Amino acid sequence: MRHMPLKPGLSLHSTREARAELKKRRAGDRLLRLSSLFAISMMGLIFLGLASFVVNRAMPAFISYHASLAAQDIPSLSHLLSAPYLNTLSDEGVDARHNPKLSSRADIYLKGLATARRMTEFDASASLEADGDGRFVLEASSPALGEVVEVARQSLLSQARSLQGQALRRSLLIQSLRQEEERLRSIGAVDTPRYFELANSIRRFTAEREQVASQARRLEDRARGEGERVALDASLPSFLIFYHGNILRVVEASERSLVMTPLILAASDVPQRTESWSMLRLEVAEARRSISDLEVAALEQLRKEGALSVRPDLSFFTRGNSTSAERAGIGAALLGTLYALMVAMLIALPLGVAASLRLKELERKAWFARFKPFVLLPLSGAPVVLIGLFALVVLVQFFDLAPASPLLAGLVLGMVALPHVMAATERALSVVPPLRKEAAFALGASRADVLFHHVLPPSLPAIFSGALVAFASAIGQAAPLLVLGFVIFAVDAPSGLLSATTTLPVQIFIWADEPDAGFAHRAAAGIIVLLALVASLHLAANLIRARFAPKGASHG
Amino acid sequence: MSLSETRQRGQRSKRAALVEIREHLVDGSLNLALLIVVALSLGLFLVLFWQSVRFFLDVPVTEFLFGLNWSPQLGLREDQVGSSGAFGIIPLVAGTGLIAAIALMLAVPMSLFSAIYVSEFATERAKRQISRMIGLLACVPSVVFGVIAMMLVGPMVRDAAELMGFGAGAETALAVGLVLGVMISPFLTALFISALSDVPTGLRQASQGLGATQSETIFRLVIPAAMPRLKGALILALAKLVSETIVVVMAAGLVANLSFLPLESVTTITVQIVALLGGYQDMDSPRTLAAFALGLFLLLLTIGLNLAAFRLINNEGERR
Repeated sequence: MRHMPLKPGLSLHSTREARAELKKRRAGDRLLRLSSLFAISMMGLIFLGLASFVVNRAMPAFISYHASLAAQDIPSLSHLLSAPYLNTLSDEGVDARHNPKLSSRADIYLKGLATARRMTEFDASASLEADGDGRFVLEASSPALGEVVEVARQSLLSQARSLQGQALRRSLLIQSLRQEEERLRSIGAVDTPRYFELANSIRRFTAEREQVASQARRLEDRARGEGERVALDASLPSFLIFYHGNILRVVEASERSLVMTPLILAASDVPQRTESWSMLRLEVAEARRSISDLEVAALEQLRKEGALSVRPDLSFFTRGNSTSAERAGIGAALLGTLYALMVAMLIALPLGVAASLRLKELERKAWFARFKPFVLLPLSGAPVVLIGLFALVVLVQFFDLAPASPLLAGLVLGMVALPHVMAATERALSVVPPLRKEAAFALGASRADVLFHHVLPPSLPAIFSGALVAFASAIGQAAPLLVLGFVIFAVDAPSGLLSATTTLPVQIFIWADEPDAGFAHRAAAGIIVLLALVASLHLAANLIRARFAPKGASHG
Repeated sequence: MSLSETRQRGQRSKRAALVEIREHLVDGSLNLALLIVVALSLGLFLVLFWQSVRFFLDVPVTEFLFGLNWSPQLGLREDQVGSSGAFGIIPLVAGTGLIAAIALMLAVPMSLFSAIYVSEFATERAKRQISRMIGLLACVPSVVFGVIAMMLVGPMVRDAAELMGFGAGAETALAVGLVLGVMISPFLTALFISALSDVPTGLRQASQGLGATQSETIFRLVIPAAMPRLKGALILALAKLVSETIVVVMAAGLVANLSFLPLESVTTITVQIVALLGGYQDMDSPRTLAAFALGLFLLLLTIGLNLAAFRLINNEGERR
């Protein structure tokens, strides 16, 4: 049977205007549905993006570069992979049995953390000849040569500008010191120690200013160059030329030619002309990075021939902090966190459960119900950083507890978790039907009996799972520990509850503050470990809830 | 009365005494636990209060509350000129407020519409799954967002500002606000979802039965009905933003600028608390005590916000 449309006269929306109006209202529905879908996917995408950023940043902390000794057979690499060279590239040195791990500065370079690098290939013709005193001259008509000159000039000029800025700051300082000197002289205090000190400072700053200014002038002269040549040294970005297996460093540049010193020369003879060569530009000057141009050349050669391998590296989980990013690990902080978690659980769990059992009983009394929120609000509503302030006065100052110890961290984090443990307990206790208690009392059970046999057993799983969630969020807190001196350099795992330590979030905080780019990866890797710990506590909570949940009853 | 009966009675009374002792023991330990918790709670307040009183003996309360200058001399020497510093809290409150406002401007629309999707449009299954995801995301430690603000969003905002021709550092209020907005939105969404879901289905059906479309039902009925709890959720989020420490310590500035421009670097109350106590200082100097005064201010502020939120949420519960 076909659906018959209503006759126009019977429809509610009989006129064209009414139908248009209805359409508009329906469109509002669609718009709301779409925009709310957009909002939630936006949120999902943001968090997905953040997660991928963290994982991406963390990767280098879990891998390390190794040299493969099998590549010794390749003629151009055999000398790089034998004793003198390899010992500078790898701390483990030459050992035929395994592929040695590269040194941390080589590792940092290969992960792109030591300097920005740009490799440019050229298909233009160039000629190379030795100039007698061990140097080589490359001649080519390519804009790349102009680029070398330009980069060197700009770098020299910017160094000169920064020196001029220093000179200017000293001038201002001298000016203000002069005013002070003038003031002292006007009140006749010319033979006071303060006056002598001032005069001395003025002399010293004047000398420094002259020195800095003359350095700046020298740099500017160099940037202008002799004729059109600019000399490059270790204070400028490096340019390495790859020419048929030979690697050379540019020491002098002009628009038409480059003067270079050899870094690695291939055994085979060098062709005079070539149609293909390449140039590697390293932005950070050799003097400002730990890896030398020679080592970079060797690494580039090895990488080009495929003689480097990447392996997973789990030492991050076992090592303590270190001044070198590539050696820093999360082990010490992880152990400190676990100790603190243990202390926090041992203290906050019994305390919180017992206190809320009593609260639950007292709540029926009117005077207490009115009184309760005001008494407990400072604890449950306080920003966590204030718990650190409280602990600073009470635990560190008054009880003289060792600062930065797992015990202190555990007490503080226990106090952070306490209100949440209590809230979880109260929720769990509300599941116990009051009739059950009353029945037990009626049969003559004592209050302790009722507590241990009828109140606690059915509510314990919910208490535990709620408490685990509370502790999961407490161990992620770094704020109260910041004011308690936990920002320390923790190399070794804590040996006891009173030895100095730090916790995971504080360690991440410390690494994130380091200027060295390598520590950024450590911070991201630390985040992954922290999130894994928090997630596993949540998982445990869920398992407990699922395993012991009373059948048919749902609580949340 | 036979001998055996007497003995029996003696045993029974011994057992009764044991039960009595156990009763007292359990009772006593529960009382002790509650006492400790109350002492911790009141102690937290009293410690802050006492240290603040000591601070206000040096610096008048009016100067603290209404002063426009905050420069507590993150200082070098004792005898330095002006080593007493200026302790006016207004720039800190303004900075905190600016950052919180930016965060809420991002978080509120995103969370509200997400919550509308979950409570009104999603299927039961999707609703459960999304709620679980949101619950997990709300538990991500804030140090994670601090790192993200420092390494990702701060430089991004700086570069974007430069592209549009504004000069900006890496530590802008905008960057911190955006990150805090993202951080707070799972928490806010969860509260919004529960507020919207608790509006009785009968109301919705009645509205649609009268011919309202779904969007009209949501905007004219569900949201107004849930409004007290939505407001309460908003205030709780604000309290959380104001007390957030790690993210702002990592990504906001240290210098107190009295500014409302999102591309300026501002500082917050919590940043200053951490900065004043960074490392152990002389515990009796006004500089250190100032941290406790800030702490008291922050505590009263968050307690006030919490009370307001609970009042809104509970009143609505009573009305129903």
